Amino acid sequence: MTLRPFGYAGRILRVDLSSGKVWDEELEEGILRLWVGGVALGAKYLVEEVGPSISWDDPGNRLIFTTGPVAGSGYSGAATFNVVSKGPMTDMAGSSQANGFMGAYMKFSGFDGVIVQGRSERPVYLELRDGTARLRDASHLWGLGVKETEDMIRRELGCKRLDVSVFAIGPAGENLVRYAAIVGDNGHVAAHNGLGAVMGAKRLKAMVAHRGRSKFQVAAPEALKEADRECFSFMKDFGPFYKWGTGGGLSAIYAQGALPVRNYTTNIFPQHESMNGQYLRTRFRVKARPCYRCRMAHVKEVTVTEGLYSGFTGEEPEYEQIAAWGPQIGNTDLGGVVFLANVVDDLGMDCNEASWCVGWAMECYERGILGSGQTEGPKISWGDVEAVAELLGRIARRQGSLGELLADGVMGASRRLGGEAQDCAVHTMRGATPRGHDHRGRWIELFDTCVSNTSTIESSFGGIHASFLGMRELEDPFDHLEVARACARFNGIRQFDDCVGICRLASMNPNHTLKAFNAVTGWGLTIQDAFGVGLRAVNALRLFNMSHGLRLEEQRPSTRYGSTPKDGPAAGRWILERWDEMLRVYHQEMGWDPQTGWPLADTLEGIGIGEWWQRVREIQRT
Amino acid sequence: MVATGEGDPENLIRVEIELWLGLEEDLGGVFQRISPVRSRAVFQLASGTSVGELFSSVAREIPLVCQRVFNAETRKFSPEVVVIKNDAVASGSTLSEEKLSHGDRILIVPVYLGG
Repeated sequence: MTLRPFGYAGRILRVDLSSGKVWDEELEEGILRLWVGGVALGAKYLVEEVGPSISWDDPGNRLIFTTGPVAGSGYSGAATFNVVSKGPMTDMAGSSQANGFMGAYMKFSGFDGVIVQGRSERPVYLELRDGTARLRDASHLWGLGVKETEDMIRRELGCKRLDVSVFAIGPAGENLVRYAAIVGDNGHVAAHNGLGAVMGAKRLKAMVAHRGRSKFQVAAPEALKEADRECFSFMKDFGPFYKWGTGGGLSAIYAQGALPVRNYTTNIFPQHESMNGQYLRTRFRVKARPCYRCRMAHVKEVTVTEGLYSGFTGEEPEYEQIAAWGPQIGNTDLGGVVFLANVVDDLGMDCNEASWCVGWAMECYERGILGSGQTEGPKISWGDVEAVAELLGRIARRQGSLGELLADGVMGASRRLGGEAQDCAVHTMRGATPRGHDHRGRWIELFDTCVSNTSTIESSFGGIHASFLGMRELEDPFDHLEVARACARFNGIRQFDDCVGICRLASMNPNHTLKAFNAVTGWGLTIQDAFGVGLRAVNALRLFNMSHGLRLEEQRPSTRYGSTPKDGPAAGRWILERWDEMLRVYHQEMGWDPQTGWPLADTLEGIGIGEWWQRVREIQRT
Repeated sequence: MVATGEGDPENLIRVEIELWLGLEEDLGGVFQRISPVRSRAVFQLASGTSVGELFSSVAREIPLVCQRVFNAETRKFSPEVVVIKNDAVASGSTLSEEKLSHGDRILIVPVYLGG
């Protein structure tokens, strides 16, 4: 019998939906030492198993769920899992995380990860329990929203809410909407790059993990408890999150010119103080719904107590949802935001991309680019919450010409209409879209979104965290080359977080994360080692994207995304002025060919994956 | 404190500081809480006062400002805040030396990146 490394279940589950075969493999310690878990482990399998000829909806594509060593250890906020696949928004790599319970329960069920391949003939869901896995019929669940799917699965398994973790797709995933998400445990979302559509293409409706009996060992339990105390003591006073949730930062983000307002047409939104977390938690009724053993407990259920949606109860919207269904679509009713946030989650769509699509359509209507001749259904205008809810349903089911148009995302939709429609679409030239911000007031995230390999921000974590690491801060947020250098300088540590199985809110200070990681594994990594792990993930995904056809001209913002704000605190700032130079500097600082962006041999050697250089040469030859 | 600025009224300027989010708690002194996320103070200053001089003075009187916004010793703003002067994001590295003008409005906002 092989001894399992501390922090790991030691096995990875394989599922072939085409044959219905399920088996598991041992995870060797050498692989874990190199790739740790989460995004890095997922990236390794993606590179090794998905070739350039495999498109996102091909049965050969892999959908790779991974957890990390700290998940389920009892450390606060440690139940995160990661999903890696070739995603439909970019037809390149995507990596996304969600919290709740799955990251812990997957390990308690006996697995550090699950790799799904093939395509099932009929809808199925995967059940993990005590070291076994079983595919169950999901025909009766096909067509249902996420919430009802979760409820029905729990009922048919005879489980209470906390007995199982359920992550599912809604109608959007089933209908291959390109920004379909994987949603579960009452509103937690792996949102980016349409990984829910990959699940839909495989006809995998849900993944279920029982709380289970399978346990793993922690190397230094007392040190872990101390790290947890330290982290919690730090986090409860750090920013607004403990008291006000992520929505507590909305007004500050507005003040910086980084709140998206009406599809980037303005940066003025005086109603921000009746739309932030402070307002929500003092006016509406909230009840704690914490993730697995999380002391931060920032996740809440909320009941609206004023306005048209008074009496509506659902998950409290995070910052991204408030930005999406408030200012981005010109809505000033916070109750309406709560309502739409729950609608989009139930349909199983990424709220960010959905709101860029809706805001784009609203602007197109306003400017006469979209008219009754081109779409059926009512005109949608700024702030019309009911019309948006109806439209989201049509998108998720690809109903009508507008629903069908918007189901391919804002880049696809705008290209199909062409002309002026393209000028007002917010996206990267690869097809990914920003998180819920106006990045024209936050250049490092704009640049990161365009150059990253995960399909969303990869490196940027702000000056606040650089100081924790003794690193040089980003002094001028609007200095082109300094932004590019900082993006490279910071890259790695956030990807390490996404390897270990901890929520972002519990990993604001990387020193705490590393302390917890070392307490669980006993490996004694340094911060530099942690950067190395993260950089392995970054470089592996970079190799994947380059070999799958990533071009330099795709690492840019669209015209609107890279435009100059007309008003607000970032008025007059224009990032595209020196974009090509930024890109060259970034490539160079990352140890990549400045002109092409391919990782160089020395770089791969330096992070312990020198043997992958051969792979690079083979790809370049072909 | 610079805030009370004395002398020829002709040479006095009026400057406003707002601190947003989390920074407003337990400030006291000249700061008035004007909303759940904002506290404001208005200062009468001698003409020619720099941003650094004003914040050094405030930081000396209010420990929380010293701790989280401005280091009076190094005369630098904390990397944890964004400074917005007259509705435009200002560069922290040169801001300290800038001379204040009558009617200037400075917002101090915590940095939040990501979601």
